[in-house]
Amino acid sequence: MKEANEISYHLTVKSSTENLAIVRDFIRKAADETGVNTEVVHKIILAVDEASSNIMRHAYKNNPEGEISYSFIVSGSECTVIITDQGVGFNPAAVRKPDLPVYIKEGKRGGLGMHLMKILMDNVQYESTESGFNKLVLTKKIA
Amino acid sequence: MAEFNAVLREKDNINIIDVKGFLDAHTAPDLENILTGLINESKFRVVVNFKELDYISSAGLGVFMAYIEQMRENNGDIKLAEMKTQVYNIFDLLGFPILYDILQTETEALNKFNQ
Repeated sequence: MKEANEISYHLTVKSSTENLAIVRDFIRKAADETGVNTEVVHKIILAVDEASSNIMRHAYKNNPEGEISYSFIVSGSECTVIITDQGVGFNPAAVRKPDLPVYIKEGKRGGLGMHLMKILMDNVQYESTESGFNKLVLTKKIA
Repeated sequence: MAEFNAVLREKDNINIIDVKGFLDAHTAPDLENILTGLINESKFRVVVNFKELDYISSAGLGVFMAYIEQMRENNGDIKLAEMKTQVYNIFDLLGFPILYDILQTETEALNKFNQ
């Protein structure tokens, strides 16, 4: 059942990194229209950027022809962003907490995104379905 | 399209990179190219001026993670200066300020090399 005061926005883009700017604009506009405060908007934008960059790089292996779909939903005091793709799934439990001193020694350039998403959002849930869809649900309290 | 540009200049044998706009997974390779170019020329003393940078994601942070050790092994460093609060906050969330010199001004960053 949808709540009566639920507002939602949708966007689908190809998995090319040049679309990250379009995704950020989409979130910014949707958040502005629903009155989410600026500081929270910045956090959601970055979390969605991190999620999208990971999907482009890992799920679609840098193939720019994959599709990524976004739903931005505000319901009551909560904002939810649902991101789906049809790329290769992953096991979030296998993602290590970043160890910056070690990463620097190793000259590693990735491995921060998932951790950042968890810091920025109140809840991060990932599901890889048997029908070939991966679904990431990011939730943030807005009031 | 994300707007980003990085311009390289030199002052007292220190290489300064002015970054501007949005540094994300799409634009990070531009900055990476400049840093690998400097390493290839054995230029290991770098200051990055963030004055006009509005946004950074972890792909941008990753560029600094990837090359700083090489710079330090060669008696150099990448020092970061003039960050806007919203950009500094992201570095701070991931614990960068303990491991990197992040200075208020470009002059302070340049002076750090002579201390």
